[in-house]
Amino acid sequence: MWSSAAKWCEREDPSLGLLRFRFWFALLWMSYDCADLLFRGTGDILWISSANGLPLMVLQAALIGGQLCIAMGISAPLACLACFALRLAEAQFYFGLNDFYYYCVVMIPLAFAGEKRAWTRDFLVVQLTWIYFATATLKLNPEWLSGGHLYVRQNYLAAIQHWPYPAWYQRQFLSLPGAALLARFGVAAEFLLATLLLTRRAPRVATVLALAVHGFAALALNVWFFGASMALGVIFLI
Amino acid sequence: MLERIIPVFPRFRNYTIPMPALSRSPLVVLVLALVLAGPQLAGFATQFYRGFVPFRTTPTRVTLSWDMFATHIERCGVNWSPPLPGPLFELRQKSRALEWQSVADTREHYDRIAAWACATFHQPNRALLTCFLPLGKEESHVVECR
Repeated sequence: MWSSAAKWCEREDPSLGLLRFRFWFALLWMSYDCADLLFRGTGDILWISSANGLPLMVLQAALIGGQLCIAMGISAPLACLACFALRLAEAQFYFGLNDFYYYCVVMIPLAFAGEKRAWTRDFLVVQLTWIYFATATLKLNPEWLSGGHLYVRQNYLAAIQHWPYPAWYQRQFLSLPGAALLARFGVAAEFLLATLLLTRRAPRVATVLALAVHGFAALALNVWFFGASMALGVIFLI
Repeated sequence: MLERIIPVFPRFRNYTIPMPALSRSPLVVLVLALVLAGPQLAGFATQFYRGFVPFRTTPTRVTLSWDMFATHIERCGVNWSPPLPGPLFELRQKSRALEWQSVADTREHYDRIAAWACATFHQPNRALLTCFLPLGKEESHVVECR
């Protein structure tokens, strides 16, 4: 068993998928941190807790530097580990967002991406599979399946944030029954994505499904970066 | 694009930790697997320990359980009248149009934000909260600040 494990650890991954994923993942999150810093996205939210924003700005600047190194391939393994630590600090001391924890669990294997070992890719695919499976399982609850969760998010966005939903969409999907339909499609799509990732079958179907799920989250729920970084995983790693 | 960028900086790539040796060691890979899987499995198990039953109960926030969009939420708009110094008419002004929003997950939390803002700015006023609830209802209430 140990010898087969050793062989698996030695196996090379000749494709460029891992490096491409690392490049785009770093670029995406660098743009997140640049926009966050420039437009005081998180900084203004901190107003509620009256926390000091300066350490956060330092964290964000360091993350931008780290991600630039990763994208350019400059001491990328070290930069990956530094970015892991910085994002973990951001999650622990400021906002414990799932987005930030996802970033952390991806950055650890990415530190080894330059070696192009097959196990790194396997780790990341299993990681993605688990996230889709776990989140779909936890969505099997009355509030999500009844459409209540989406009802709240969408109606808040429409009424308070003046989100530009088309009129037809508002008529069909801002009601509880309409939101329930979307919610059930969503959970089915996530289970299907987990299955396709696990079996590594039908990469095109998985890509379309990931783009549909995360495209919906961006356009209808105003969640852009987390979904995009998960979709990158499906596109480059499966 | 990537292939074109990486060779531009070959000399920087030498200043790095010895990943080739580490990446071939089954022990290192095993430790990494445990470090990654352990907290996530523990997070997921904690959801069940805290009472999550599929199709019957709603999960709570647990780090690394991947509970996005699965937990209970309520969302409110908060309007202060008269406006707070700034002038700050509504909580929405502290949000960006895309991605970054000043939101909480319960009406009680929004009540605390409304009252906190009144107290911080030492200004008697009232806050009107318009809340959306997962039962498919919208309700409004007022937080008086004196």
